[in-house]
Amino acid sequence: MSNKEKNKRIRAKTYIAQLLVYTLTIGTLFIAGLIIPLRPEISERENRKLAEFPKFTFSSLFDGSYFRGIGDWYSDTFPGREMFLELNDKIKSFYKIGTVKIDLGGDIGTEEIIIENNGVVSDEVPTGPANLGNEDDYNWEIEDDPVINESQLINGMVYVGDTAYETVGFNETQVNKYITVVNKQAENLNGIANVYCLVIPKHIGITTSLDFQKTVGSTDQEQVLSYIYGALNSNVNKVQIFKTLRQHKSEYLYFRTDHHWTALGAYYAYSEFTKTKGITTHPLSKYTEVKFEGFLGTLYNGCKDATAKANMKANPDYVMAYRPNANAELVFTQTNGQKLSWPIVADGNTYSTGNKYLAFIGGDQPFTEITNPDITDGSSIVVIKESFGNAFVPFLVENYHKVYVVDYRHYGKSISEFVKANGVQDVLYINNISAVSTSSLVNFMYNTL
Amino acid sequence: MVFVSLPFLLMFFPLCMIFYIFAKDIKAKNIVLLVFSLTFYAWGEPKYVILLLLMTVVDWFAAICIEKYAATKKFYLIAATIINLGIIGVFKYGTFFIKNTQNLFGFPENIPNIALPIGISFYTFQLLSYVIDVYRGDVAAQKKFYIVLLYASLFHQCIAGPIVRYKDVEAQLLVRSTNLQKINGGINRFCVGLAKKAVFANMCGKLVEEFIISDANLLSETAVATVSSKTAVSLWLGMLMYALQIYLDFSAYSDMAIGMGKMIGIDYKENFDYPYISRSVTEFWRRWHISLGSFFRDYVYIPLGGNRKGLPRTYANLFVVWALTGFWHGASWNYVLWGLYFFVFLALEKSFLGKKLEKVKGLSNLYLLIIVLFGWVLFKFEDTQTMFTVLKGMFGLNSNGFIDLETKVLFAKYGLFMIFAVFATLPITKILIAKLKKLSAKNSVAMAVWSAGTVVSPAILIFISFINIVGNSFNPFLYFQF
Repeated sequence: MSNKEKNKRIRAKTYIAQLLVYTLTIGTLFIAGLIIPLRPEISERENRKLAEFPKFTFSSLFDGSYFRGIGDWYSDTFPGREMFLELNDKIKSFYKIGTVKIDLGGDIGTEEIIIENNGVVSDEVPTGPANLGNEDDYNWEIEDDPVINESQLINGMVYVGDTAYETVGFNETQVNKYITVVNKQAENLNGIANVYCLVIPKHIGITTSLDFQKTVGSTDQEQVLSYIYGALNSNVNKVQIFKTLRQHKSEYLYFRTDHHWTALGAYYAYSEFTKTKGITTHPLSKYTEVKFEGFLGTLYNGCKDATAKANMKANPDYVMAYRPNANAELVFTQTNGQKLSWPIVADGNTYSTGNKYLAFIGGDQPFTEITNPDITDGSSIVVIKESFGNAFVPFLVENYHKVYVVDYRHYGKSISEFVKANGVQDVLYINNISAVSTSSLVNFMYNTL
Repeated sequence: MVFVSLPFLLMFFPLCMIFYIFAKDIKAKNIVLLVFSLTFYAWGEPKYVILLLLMTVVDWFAAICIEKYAATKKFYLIAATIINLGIIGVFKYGTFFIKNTQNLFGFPENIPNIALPIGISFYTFQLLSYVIDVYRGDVAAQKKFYIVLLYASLFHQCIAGPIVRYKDVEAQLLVRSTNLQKINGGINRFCVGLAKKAVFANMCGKLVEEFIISDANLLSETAVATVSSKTAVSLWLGMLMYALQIYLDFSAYSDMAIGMGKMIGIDYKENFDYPYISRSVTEFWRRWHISLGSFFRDYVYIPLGGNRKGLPRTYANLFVVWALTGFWHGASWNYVLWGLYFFVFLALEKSFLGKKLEKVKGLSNLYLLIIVLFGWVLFKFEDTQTMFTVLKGMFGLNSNGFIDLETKVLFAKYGLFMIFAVFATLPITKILIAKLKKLSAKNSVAMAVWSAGTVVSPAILIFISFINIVGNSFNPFLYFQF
């Protein structure tokens, strides 16, 4: 056989083999895509429910949303998705050409830094008094599919060593709306209940220098807080915690792999609240300490940088919680109206690695009622919160007969009506500094006035 | 539906090919393609299929009449042209025209938001070229409606080009065959296009968002504030990434179309020929979106007289062509500006610059790249204020630094990728593989390498593309607004 014929044969065989390989590759993925039971329903790393197969309606068929929905479901729930996302991140780590290190000063020294920005530009914090405007001038409408999941509302991330920091932004309009809400609630309940406001700074503002924050594009949180407190009316009781937290900044006040504060951080806030109100600040020893090791939270799960993720995994957080020793009982009401009894601080050791923060008061429930029979003075408080409040509430149980907890994102009713109907004495708005700049959250707060 | 998505790659396209292979004869195969194409089109926007069908009916009918009634053929040509351009004028440019009328005359008060049907710029031009070619006698009118509809709606190129001329594909629409070598070529082309888009273009797009601004932010009131906070290096790197993104994105879609065509025996013409190696703007437009350039040449420039009516008229003709070319890209003045920007350089090159550029290779490459890069700034920013802010920022006039920490971090993290993306615009791989294939005829080691590489590459390209597609919910097609 001539060389030419030999080559022809080899090429023909190559083409056949290639066709086979191509068909097998596509074919395998095609079949995998058809195995419905393998499809995941939630995404741990994105902390959300994945797309569902759309319901058939004639209108959705004609406007294209039915088929588009099928396409979305097909992609969003593809078998092995989380695994492929991890693989994708690992591959991306090969795109590196070097690393940038930043000098954090002090005993932290120089560390490699990774910044991920979501491109949102903060407003300047006004130096003068707030220009609040009229309540009716603002848009308080809640959208069809509002984003209320805090891990989906992140402005930007900074990873330094094994610590993940959220950067904090400032949105003047939304913050003005927040101030309007709190002031309005104080008016609604004037003479009926005491309204308190406590805005929680985030990790980056407490443990890093202002220079660092400015360099990575995080706003001056102390300035934001003084702006807010300066604009709240005199009948709002202001609980300021920034300076106290900074004094304790070398303690374990915030998680490194999760966007929440620790129960210790919440305790310092509790001590400021009790000081402001003039009630007993119970020492930590009044509570039973419990520890849940091996916590890798929202910032770990959502981390797209393979190196940063590996650093966090090598040094996970732990949850230190403080159980009230009183004979208190917690009952929460779910969205479907069902009531459930639940421990105030559950055993986080039985919770998965990513979920240990949920050990506090049963997670984010629409409405929770904690009764402490050991206290008989009829004292009561409504705590209006997103998820930061969960670590804070257990401390109050030793001060109040009734602690009501409202997650304003899920409550759906009027808080002032509840306060009036139940003779509640204190109302505490405890909100983190990013939430007050977020329109969907502020709108929910308004709609539960 | 978009090509580079799991539903298309793993559901739609395999199913289409399965039905296609098992279809008995050419007519059945064509029906399979037609059904899948209309489904593909209707997937995203069912109601606009009617527009596509309507335009096809009009043009199919007009072509038949042009052929049949020689005396009144001009009437049918003009009627079809008016209807075609009228439809695209309303749906694509309606809001633009109304907005400008309002700016000039104060009315109408309310500007309706007319949605842009997918692919309208591509299929309108395809059908128009068909009618004109029948009028010119370049091709016979096709009596079977379904063939004309197949030509207009074939999912390979209906949404994203290339702009295919009926006369170029008629023979293969009616009779076609394929062989192993063609299939191999098709698979290669398809997989390369897939990887180009999924691995490179999408990542470039992400970097544009990081360095400059996200697509969502660009449309909001905070756009100017965002871009004015970017350092000069950030803006330059971002525009570099944009230049890469738009090429890799668009050429990838053409690659995939050409690849899918080859698999079943249809040969589409090349639409991109490594445009960034050009040494002049003239050459660039012979390598970039070739099917659009040749459309405007054959159906606007030449009918206007081309370069046969004297120099001033030539420049006037070019002016019109380039204003229209820009305008085709989007219903906004910045696109017209972009087109005319190139007109200026084309005119300069035609008169004296072209000859000078030929003598200074290297410098002429640099000249072209800088011109095109600034062209992309005009292209990307529809809002004038944002555009100016970016241009100022690129020259450091926004009182930001030269570079900042974030830019350094981004470059450190993705630098190697950015270098690879630049390489993807060069024909290096193509030349190397061609050399390898040639060598393999004489050298058995080369043959082994070529053979192994050919067999394995689809699997590798598909797998890395798949991982990237799963990983990126971000998957825009920049030319989708057309």
